[in-house]
Amino acid sequence: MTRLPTDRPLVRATAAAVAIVVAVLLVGQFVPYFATTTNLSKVLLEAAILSVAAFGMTLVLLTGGIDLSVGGVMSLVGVVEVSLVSSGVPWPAAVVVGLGIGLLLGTVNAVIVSRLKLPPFIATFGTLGIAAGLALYIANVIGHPVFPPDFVSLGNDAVLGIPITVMLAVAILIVLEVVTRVTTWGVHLRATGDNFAVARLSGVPVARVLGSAYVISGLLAATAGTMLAARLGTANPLQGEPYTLLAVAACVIGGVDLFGGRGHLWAAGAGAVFLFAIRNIMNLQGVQPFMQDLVIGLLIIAAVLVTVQGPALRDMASDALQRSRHRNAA
Amino acid sequence: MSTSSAPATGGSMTSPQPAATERRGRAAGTWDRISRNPTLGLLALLLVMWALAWILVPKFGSVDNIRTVLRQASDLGVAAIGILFVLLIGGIDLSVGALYGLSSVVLVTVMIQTGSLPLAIAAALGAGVLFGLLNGVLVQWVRIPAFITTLGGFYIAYALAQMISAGSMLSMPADDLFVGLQTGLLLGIPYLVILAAIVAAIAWVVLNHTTFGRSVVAVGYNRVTAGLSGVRVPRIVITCFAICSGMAALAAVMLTSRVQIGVPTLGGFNATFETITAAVVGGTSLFGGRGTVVGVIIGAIIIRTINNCIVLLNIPSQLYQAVMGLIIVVALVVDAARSRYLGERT
Amino acid sequence: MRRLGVSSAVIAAAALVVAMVPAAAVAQDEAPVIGLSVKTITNDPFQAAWVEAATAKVEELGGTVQLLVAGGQTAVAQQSSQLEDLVTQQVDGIIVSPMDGSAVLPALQKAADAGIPVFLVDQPIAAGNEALYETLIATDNVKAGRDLATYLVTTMNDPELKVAIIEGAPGSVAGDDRLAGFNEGLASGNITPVASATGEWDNAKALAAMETILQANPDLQAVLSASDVMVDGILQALAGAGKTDVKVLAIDGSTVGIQGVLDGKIMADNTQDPMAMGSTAAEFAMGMAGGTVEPGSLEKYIDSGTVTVTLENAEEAMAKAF
Repeated sequence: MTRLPTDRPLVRATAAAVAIVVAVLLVGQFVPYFATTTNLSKVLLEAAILSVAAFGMTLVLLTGGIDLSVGGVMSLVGVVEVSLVSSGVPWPAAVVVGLGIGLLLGTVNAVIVSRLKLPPFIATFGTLGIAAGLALYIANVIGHPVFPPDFVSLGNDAVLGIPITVMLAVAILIVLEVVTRVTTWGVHLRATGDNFAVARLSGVPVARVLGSAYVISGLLAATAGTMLAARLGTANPLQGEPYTLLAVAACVIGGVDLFGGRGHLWAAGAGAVFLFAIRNIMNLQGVQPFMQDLVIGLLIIAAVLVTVQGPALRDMASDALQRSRHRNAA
Repeated sequence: MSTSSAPATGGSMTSPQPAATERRGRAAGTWDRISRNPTLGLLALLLVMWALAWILVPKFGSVDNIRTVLRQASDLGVAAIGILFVLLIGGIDLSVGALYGLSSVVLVTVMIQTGSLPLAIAAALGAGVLFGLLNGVLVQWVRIPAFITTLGGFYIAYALAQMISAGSMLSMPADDLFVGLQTGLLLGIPYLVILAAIVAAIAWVVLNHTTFGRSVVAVGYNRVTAGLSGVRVPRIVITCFAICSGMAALAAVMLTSRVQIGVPTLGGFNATFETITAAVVGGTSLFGGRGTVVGVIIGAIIIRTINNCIVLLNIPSQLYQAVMGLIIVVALVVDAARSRYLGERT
Repeated sequence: MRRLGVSSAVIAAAALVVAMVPAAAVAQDEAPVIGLSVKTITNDPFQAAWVEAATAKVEELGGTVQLLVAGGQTAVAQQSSQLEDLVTQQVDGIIVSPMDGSAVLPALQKAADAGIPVFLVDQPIAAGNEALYETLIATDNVKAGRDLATYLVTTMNDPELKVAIIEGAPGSVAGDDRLAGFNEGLASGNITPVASATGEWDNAKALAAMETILQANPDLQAVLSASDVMVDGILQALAGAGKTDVKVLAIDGSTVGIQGVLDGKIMADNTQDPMAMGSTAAEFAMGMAGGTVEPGSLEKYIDSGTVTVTLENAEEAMAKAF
């Protein structure tokens, strides 16, 4: 088979970029105010927060598991940070504590899933309950404090036109990409997801790899939670909850395989951007919330059809082509 | 969630511990029988919980309270039986929570329009079964993973419920029969509990004594070999999803009889997770092929007992979610430890 | 059936088309556009009432409304995002019922920076941010709770009164205020509630909580509910336990509540006036957009009033019920 120009990654990337610009301009014709810099910048700012959580979710999905506790961790970390700040702790220290909590919860998940071998679905649902419940409890005790303005500006402002949250998300992405490609751990991660039994037989320390994905996911969820708290300037105990499913959606739309092994971190980030762009369009058009959820649900299904079934479809299409050639020849 | 990633053998590579009976060198005693039979183990757990609660939690032990707990557990139990069928074939159904809302809205709407309770109930159940068929078809023929299909299904059902109810909370027209369902007692047992027991009995018979039931378990164990040995896998899959949504609809009808309101937010994601948790606490494997009706019912009762104790102990409402999460994790750890002890592992 | 690529493309396209269905608002002409931001209008008669009243008033005065609904108890970030979207669309005024009085602050700051006047309805924002809004029109929820509880205490006149409270969702300011009011009112008669649990603004949850409270307190005499939306569940629980002589009191003044008073199922109901809230806010918003009302000239807090409705004044209360 001849190599088509579209097989070269650079060409594909450029084509994708062009397509995106065209799409944005096209949509901008129908939806007033969509294609303005302020609006697009806001969409990216918000998507950046989700993408950090989605990176963590991608790592876990790559191992064939799932982390349902993301939303709860995000809420809890925000609440802990705001309660520390309101009792006089400088916010950088509070953030460190918050990240520590994410690490802790991630480790709990890791132990339950990799040591005790419990199904990630239920195990992380348990930790979700614990995290979300603690967030509610602590918030009830501390009232409604807010973060100091310099912290809030990190979540809302831009430097040289690029929102700070976006810069942070990109930096995290680069670090993660490098680590998962260059280190043995990263390779092991993918292998574990692809075929657990084979990976173990080839000497991959599967338990440790499995566990580490959850630990990192917890840390990233804590980071996303901190970013969200900075964006909103406060920590409402429920604010992180929608992000669990949004993170899964971002990953699925980004082509991450729910059954493990296949997926790219940057694609999850792109999925997050796509999601928030769609939500932004729907908001500008005044679409009702349950309709918005429905659209997102349908998009998830479509994404899965394309990514999971895509290769199967190509095979089927080429089979059909072959058969028709035979028929014509006969 | 992934059928391919679970190792086939036990957690350790060293030789498994000799079976408990051999170690003690005597015939299987009560303890062994309990620890070997997961369902008996669960029953023992429930009785121990109740005994502890009796002693430690004020007002737990009254007949009235036990009745309340069982009544609250009846709709959860019915929904959990439904999801058992889907879990047995190795699938999952995230849409059950939204089915609650959809069925209750259909129930009340039809009742308002026609005034006929049987018709309303039939419509609600029918909506559930139809929805389940849709889920099953999408999973089986279009081959979208059940997690995604039923997630999308959740939003579709919720949107449908919102559209039918036009955003308002619908009040169930007064109907003595329907109200009586939630309050009535037969020989001191609430009707709802009897209904749940009947459903459980039927499900048990179907799963254990019919070809269909055996096929379901076979598909869960190994879809490929089941298909090769003549099981009509597509039919089984679709039917199981239909049963699951149908049961969710029935549970919704039961719950609606308690609140007398039809509203799209009845149930919600929380209900989905509670149902799945009840099944898993009841010993159902999320990978398919393992699970019992009795176990699932006990799981539902355990969850509602915990709910009950939390309120009776005046634990602050905000901690409720945290405690539930903790209990789930503990229950799973205990279950894992138990199967480790017996040298078995899925 | 096998054309998966096509079907998925179709679904994606359909989804996008739905997203792009032109909304009725954001008029490009001269008519002022007022943005409305609210938690939810489905299954919440209160929010639906003020939104309806505001929309009617805006349209009556010649403007159009851009309504953005956040979606639910957890959609805090979504409301912030939507407020910013209203700012992006350069609306002429924003009327908002904030889900979280602190989380909306950054977004309201952006509105202030863009010169868009903001009117608060039903829920306040955090203290110290008066510059961010023109006026807050709301019920004094503490007073509503206190009046209701005081009414109960004085009517029952029983120093050993056994009262339970069914609270609103955790984190809700209105819920917290009403709870505080309840406790103040009860304290005035030296009564402590025997139980206080959350109904999460939901009938099914309120039913379950009520059932369990009844188990622990079979001699319960009264229940204070933070909202009418939980009353049905509470009444069902009482009926189921055969405890129909327990007094039920609630806050909202919705048709559910007032009808309950008329039917004798509810002892008293403290009203809210969402219609006035929405309508007044809309008038101010349109006025400021048209230049007839000066920014900064309004009272910071307008109490929309609460009335304790009992059988005597229930008939007239029904006229204003939502």
